[in-house]
Amino acid sequence: MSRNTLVILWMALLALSLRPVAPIERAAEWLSVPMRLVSALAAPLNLSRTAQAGSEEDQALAQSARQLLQREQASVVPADPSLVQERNLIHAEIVDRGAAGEDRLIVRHAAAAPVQVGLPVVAGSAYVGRVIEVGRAGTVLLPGEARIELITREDARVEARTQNAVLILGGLCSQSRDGARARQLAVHAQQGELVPGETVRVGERVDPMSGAAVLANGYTIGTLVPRPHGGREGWSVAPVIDYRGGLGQVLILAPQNTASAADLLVHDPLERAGWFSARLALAATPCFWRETRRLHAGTRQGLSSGACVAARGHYLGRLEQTEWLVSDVRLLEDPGSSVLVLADFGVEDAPLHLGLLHTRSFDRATGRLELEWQAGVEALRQVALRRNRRVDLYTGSGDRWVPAGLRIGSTELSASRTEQLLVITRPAWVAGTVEVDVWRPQQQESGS
Amino acid sequence: MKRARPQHWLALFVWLLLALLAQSALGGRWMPDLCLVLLISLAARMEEREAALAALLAAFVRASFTGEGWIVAGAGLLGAVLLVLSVRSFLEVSAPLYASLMMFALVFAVSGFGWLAAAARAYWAQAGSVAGPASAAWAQVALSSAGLAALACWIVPRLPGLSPLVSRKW
Repeated sequence: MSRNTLVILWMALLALSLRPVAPIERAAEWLSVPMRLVSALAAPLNLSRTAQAGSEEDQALAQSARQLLQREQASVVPADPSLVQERNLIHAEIVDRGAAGEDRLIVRHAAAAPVQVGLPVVAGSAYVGRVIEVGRAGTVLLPGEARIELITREDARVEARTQNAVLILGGLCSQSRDGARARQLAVHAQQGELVPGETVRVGERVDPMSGAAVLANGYTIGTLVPRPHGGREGWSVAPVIDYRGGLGQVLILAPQNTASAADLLVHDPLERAGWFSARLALAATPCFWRETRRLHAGTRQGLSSGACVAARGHYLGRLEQTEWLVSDVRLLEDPGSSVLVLADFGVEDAPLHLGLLHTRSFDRATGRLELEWQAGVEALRQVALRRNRRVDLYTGSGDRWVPAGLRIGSTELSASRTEQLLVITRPAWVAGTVEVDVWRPQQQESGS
Repeated sequence: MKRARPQHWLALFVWLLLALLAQSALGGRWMPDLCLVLLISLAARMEEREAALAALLAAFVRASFTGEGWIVAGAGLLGAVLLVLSVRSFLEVSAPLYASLMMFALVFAVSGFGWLAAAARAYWAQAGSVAGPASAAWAQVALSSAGLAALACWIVPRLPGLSPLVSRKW
């Protein structure tokens, strides 16, 4: 083989590295299958560096995660009894934020619950949006799932009231100078006297045309904010919740004369039924700047790309690519990876969804993990209301491939900075573990 | 010239495997890139064709244990070996000083290329972003690898099973 041939070979590999060609990639994967088997055979040589902790600690962690999820469910029930009367409350968990665009979410509820198109959706005493599609057999949405449209969607409209005025609002205002983090709802029509700072609540007309929308009457949307536009008087509404990242569980309001609604979620995501035990090829990666691992399990075992990888109740990462026998795991520590996060402020405060956090850096020697949080003003307001700023971070709802309630670590939140770097010290065993569990939601659902 | 036989390639395979396992088990902030050090220390004294085969073998071993695809690993390691083959015609790259300097540069080049390829693949797959390595971590691995390369240029060709792969015909 001459130098020229080697250079041509190298340039071909170089081009294929930067611009992968699917058939060649597949052929390359098949060619490397025997080598993958070698890595499986070498597994006994692979010793994790740190001893595993006892099962008591794991059980305590699972117990606290369950309590957190129960508190999260409880926190979406309105404290005001008048908002609960004459309505059926149906718990639902957001399982997909990205599949239907930012203003449309997919939720999962008890399959027997009487969910219908048009029913309002709330979280605590705050109005969220309405159901626009209900899952049935043979449709994209599965039975027990529904698509909801947030009030932030451009064409969403809701009739609302203040002390002395009636408003029609919905959709977002054009971005303010504070950027995307200070999002406000647009007021399209108004009648009566408006006062800055007044609370805006849903106030649909009670007539047969309104349908189920009146069930949301009394739920809060936000506060009135003056918004002069082109020299004329204008108004907007600052919402009470963070519609982008602050939602994990919601309530669907149904008429009281419908069949009884299940008051709990369909299943416990921490149940063993949904997990598949597997083994990593190496406890660490030779590539010093990435935190990826090879897993000795793949599509043959029913695993899918995107599935969550965990160990002893801790979130590790997710499958980036799955092949027949092996998969690639991208750990949370890998710079650029992201996860939906739920913050636990302790038993006295309700948990708070922080939204999507991105990994900035990880130091293998100290276990120091830095996560970036782009906090919205609504989220900062919620943090300011909490007594405790020291929080435990867990995975949150919103991704059907990552169950809520897996521990990430502890950190401290600020109530004033919109761009925060959350520092977490990962336990030493997390980086060295080779025994992991992979989430298989389809198995979990059939099990429950 | 000694002729490399299958058992010598098997020996190289085993040494590469052990290097990866050791790197995984001992991994820390100053852990050198053992696989790269082993390959380059050997390639500096191999024939061109065999050095290229060694690079591809190392890429296969590396890819079988990590998330890095073998095409990317192959491009990175073959590129490093080609650079060594080019430089050794006017520089004694198996001398400790030059071996260290060469290794220091190659750690940046190979991992920099790996990052570039990962970022390009994430872009084409629309699969989020891949952040680059921290400069401190990069420098630590480059320094430790360079330090080890000064010793490895002497030790590696003498490792059991590898001496038949070494040649001076260039």
